[in-house]
Formats: sequence, C-alpha cells, structure tokens
Amino acid sequence: MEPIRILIADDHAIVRSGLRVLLESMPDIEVVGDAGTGEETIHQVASLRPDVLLLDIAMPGMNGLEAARQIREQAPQVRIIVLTMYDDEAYLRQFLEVGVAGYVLKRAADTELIDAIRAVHRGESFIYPSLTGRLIDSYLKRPTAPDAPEGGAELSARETEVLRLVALGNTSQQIADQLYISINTVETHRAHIMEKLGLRGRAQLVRYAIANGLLGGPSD
Amino acid sequence: MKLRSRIVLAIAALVLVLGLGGTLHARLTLSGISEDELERRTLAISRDLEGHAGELLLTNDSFELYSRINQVMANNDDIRYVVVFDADGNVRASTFSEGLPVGLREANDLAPDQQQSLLRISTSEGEVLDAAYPILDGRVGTIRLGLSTERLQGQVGSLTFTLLALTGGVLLAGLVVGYLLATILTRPLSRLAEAARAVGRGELSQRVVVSGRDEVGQVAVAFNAMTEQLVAKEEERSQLLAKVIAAQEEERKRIARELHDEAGQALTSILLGLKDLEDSSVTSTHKSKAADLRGLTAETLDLMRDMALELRPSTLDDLGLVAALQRYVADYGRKHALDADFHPGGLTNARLRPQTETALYRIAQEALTNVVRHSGARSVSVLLDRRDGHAILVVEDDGKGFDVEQVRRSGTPARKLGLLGMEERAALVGGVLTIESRPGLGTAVFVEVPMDGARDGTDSHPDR
Repeated sequence: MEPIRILIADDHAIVRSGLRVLLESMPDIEVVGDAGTGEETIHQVASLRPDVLLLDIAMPGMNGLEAARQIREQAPQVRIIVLTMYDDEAYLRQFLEVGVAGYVLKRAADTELIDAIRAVHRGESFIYPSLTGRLIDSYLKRPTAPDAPEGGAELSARETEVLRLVALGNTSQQIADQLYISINTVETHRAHIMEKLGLRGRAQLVRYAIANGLLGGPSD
Repeated sequence: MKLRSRIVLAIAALVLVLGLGGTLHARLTLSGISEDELERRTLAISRDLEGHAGELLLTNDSFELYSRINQVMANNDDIRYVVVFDADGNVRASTFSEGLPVGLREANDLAPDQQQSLLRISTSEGEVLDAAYPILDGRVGTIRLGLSTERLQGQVGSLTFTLLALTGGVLLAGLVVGYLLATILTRPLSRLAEAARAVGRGELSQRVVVSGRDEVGQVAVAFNAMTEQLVAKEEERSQLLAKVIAAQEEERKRIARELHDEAGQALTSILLGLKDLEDSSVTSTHKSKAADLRGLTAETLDLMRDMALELRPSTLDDLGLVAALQRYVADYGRKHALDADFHPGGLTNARLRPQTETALYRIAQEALTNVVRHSGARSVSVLLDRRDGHAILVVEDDGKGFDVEQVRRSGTPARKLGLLGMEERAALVGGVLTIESRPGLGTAVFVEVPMDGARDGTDSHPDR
C-alpha cells in the first residue's frame, strides 16, 4: 500500500523537525517535504503534489488562511489539515469556509494528528474533538428570537415604540427624551414588555425586535 | 461677608464717625462760646443797671427805678426778669407783676462780701442764667437779673440739626457711591469666580474678559493663562494616557504572540519529541515517564494559551472585535455559570479602527468583570450595533444595580477608577460612555463611538 505523502508547512523549524520525527516513525506515512512560509507552501504543493498538507495559521508573509484558499483553487485534491495553537471557533469557521478537511490543535498533535491524517486521507473530515463540541454547542444554542406567545400578548403602540428604541441601543434616558416621558415610565414599559413576551435580557429583546421587523430590517 | 457689603459698610462707618464727631465738636465749641458771651452780656447789663440803681435807691426814686428796669427789659428780649433788693432784702423794684416767685430769692443768694454770682436755675419758663449783682458793693442793695438761655440753646440745636442732616445726606451719598464702587470692583471678581467654577466643572474652554490693567485685570490675565495651561496639561495627559494604553496593548500583544509563537512552538516540538520517545521506549518505566511528561507539556500549552488569551486575544487583531467578544462572552458565561448572551447586531461583518476595537473590547471586559464582582446578576447581554455612523456597545445585566453618582463620589478607589478607566478609554477614541443603573434595576453600560475608518461595513441588520 502506498504511504500517505505529507507536506509540513510551519514557520518554526523545531516544530517541523518534531513533526517529521513523529510522522516518519509511522510506516504508512511519508514526509515528502516542508515549507516555512505561505508562498513556499504553495510552491511546494505544486511541485511535490502531497496527499495531505499540514498547515500552520500564523506564518510570516502570506498567512495560513490565504495559502489554504489558493491551494484549494490550484490543487483541490490536496487534503489540508490546519495544525494550530488557536482554538477559536472563529478561526475554525474561516477555514471550514475555505474548505479544509481537518483542524487539529498543536496541544493534541501527539495524540490526534496521526488519526486526523489517516481520516482525511480516507476522505473524511477531522476536527479537534473539544472544538467539535464547542461548534455543536454554539449551533444548538444558536440564539433564536423567541416567538411571541400565542394570543393576548399584544404590545401597546407605546410599548412597541419603547421596544424598538431599546433594540436600537438607546439608553433609557435617550428613550425618555425622545418620547417625552419619564425614565421611570420607560423602565416600567420595559418591564411589561419583557414580562408579556417572556424575554430575559436585552439581547433577546433585540432579537425579538429584529425577528418581528421592528427595526426596519428583514423579518423572518 | 461679601466684599461689596464690607466696602459699603466701611464707607458708611467713616462718614458716620466724621459727621457725628464733627457735629459734637461744633456743638461743644459753639455752646462754650455762646455761654461766655451770654455771661458777659448778663454782667454788662447788671453793671450798667447798678450804676443807676445805686443812686435811685439812695434817692428813693421808685418811679425812675421801675422805668429803668422796664427799659432794660424792653431793650433785651432775652431778659426774663429784673429785681432790685435794698440792703435789707426788701424788693424795691421788680418786673414780676404778681410778686416774687417762691424760691427765687434764695436760689442765688449773695454772700456779704461776694462780688457777683452767676447761676443757672430752672424756672417754669425754662432755664435761666441768673445774675446776682451787689449795688455799691452790697451796701445799698442787690440786683437780680434773669437771662433766658433758650435762644442760645436754640442756636446750638439748629446748628446741630443742620450738621446732622448734612451727615445724613453725606451718608446717603456715601452709601450710593460705595455701592457703585463696590459693584465696579467686585463685578470682575464675580465673573472670575463664575469662570473658576466652570473650569472646575471641566469646562476648560472658559475664559474671562480682561477689563483694564488694574489688579483685578491682572488676576483675570493670570486666570486665563492658568486655564490655557490646564488645557495644555489636560491635552498632554490624555495624549500620555493614549500612549500608555497603546504601549500596554502593544506589549500585551507582543507577549501573547511570543507565548504562542516561541514558547508554544517549542513546547509543541517537545510534545512531539516526547511522543516519539514514548513510542520508541523499550522499558515500560521509560514509556510511562515519557507519557507523564507529555501530559504535563500539553497542560502547560493549555495554560499558556489561556495566558495569551487573557493578555490579548489574537482574534482581536486577526478577525476583529465581534470574533474576540464572541469568544470572550462564551468563555465568560461558562466560567462564571452566567447566562451570557452576545448579539453582534449591525456590526457583525464590520471592522472598526484597531484602537476603537481594542477600546470596546477592554470596556466590555471591564463591564463584565464588574457584573461578576458586584451585581449578582443571573444574565447579562452584550450587544454591538451601529446607529448614525456610531458603533454602539451595550453591556446590560439583571443584577442588583448601584447608585452611579454615589459610587463616583465615594466608592472604593478601585471601583471609582474602574468606572473612570472605562470612560477614559471611550473618550480616547472619541466615544461617550454612559452608565445607567439604579438599585434593583440592573446595570447598563453604553458606549457610543464614531465609526469613521470602519472597513467592510454593512448598513442593515444582518442578524443571522
């Protein structure tokens, strides 16, 4: 069986050599080359045609994201695994949008990297488990605007106006000034709105306002 | 006491002392002079009468004696009475038609060898200067003459009245002049005081109009110069603060990167080396030791990542405020078991100026730290939005709230500085920070920052 041909892209020589030592101890894996910058990586991918690319995010010059984007265009058959220090969901999302096959944290390079390489080579995706958990979490807890309770929870015109102004990020004082009412009245209206709609916290209130088209944006 | 009142009072006191003193002096002097004059006249009349009376008494010419004393009376308005006694003390002539008033004779009795006697006596017709004058050394008889002091007193009284009226007039004029003078003197001072109060409130654009080159004018010039310097100092202070904050952020960024890039990479390579060591070890002791060290290394990497995140998340620079806050709020909610809700609203796809993003991130961080420390809230919302070319950050909790003014005035130094720090950070990027909180009603921190220099913005509210 052909070994999996790997290209290592990382701007730190010690990491490259560490990876090389680890990977070459695997019989089914062959390290065909390495690169220290984004540009070099693109060049090496073109000339070496690796099966899997291990790609660091932070590199001098062209960063990992840009390199991944170009490689996805020029050599879509190359499976890319991002190997990084960053565990932010935001980075992960960006790379998933570009179309990388795996995302592994360096702190788990010793335990999960080999599995990840084999998985993406088989055509599967591999995302560092604790990040997967966070991703699912944030998908499930994705904030949705609570629906207005069935019947009888109609807001008065004044309450709707207060809700709109709160959702626009006004202070109670600003709302009071705009509507020519006292700040206490604003607070009372707000309390009524929250109670009627069963909302908790300003963020929910904003989402409700958006979902119900109170801010002039698209209503869903 | 106000300066104006003091000036007016001083002038009034001066006028009063001068006026009253002058009046008193004039009165004393005048009455002294007039009294001498009166006494001289009394004696002169007595002496004149004596010349004739002696002879008339000796010739026993009562008719002529009467006509004499009546003539004396007629010639002098002030004379109230004339009485001529003989040596035995009998009345020989008198202007009293109904007899001598009781007690008059004894009121001014002349001793046998006395030359003359002048005495003031009170009568039913007012005070009288009574003269007893011996006729021919007392051998023939005595003349008694009474001169009213009324006219004299009247003169002194009218002079006193005139002087007092004059004093009153001058006093009135003095008060008016003093009031005007005090007003002229104190008006620039009042303006200065008002300006100083305004500057104290922080209205550093305040200047006073310099009127004249007198001492007050000089104070005004000095005041304006001081305010200029204050403005310059304030400007310097704010520049310095901006610089310190920028330097701090830069330093944090550098250390965070260093942790990631240098230490992190080294630890990663140690991790890999240990894995290799573990795999190639032949004895189980070596294998398990390498495994322990590997675990330790992974933990150290986690620790370092947290440190770097705490210092300054790389997402803030690479991906922007929304990504950084998203992460921070999520971690924060997990760590403190709080319902922490983040809604990036109209800023979802926008990048602001780096300083603005940093400022908003740090303010949100501080506000959220305060929520945990002071509010006892169960849920907290972090919102970003845009409105009228401004980026808006709102951090609102449902905690117990606090009296903002009271904390600002007399809170603990740490708490006060916390609020001040948030305000300063907002001000340094041209923003305004407002805190709305009342006991029992939660706390909301609003920041409004102008968005000039924002990149890649959208104007609608793309919520999803």
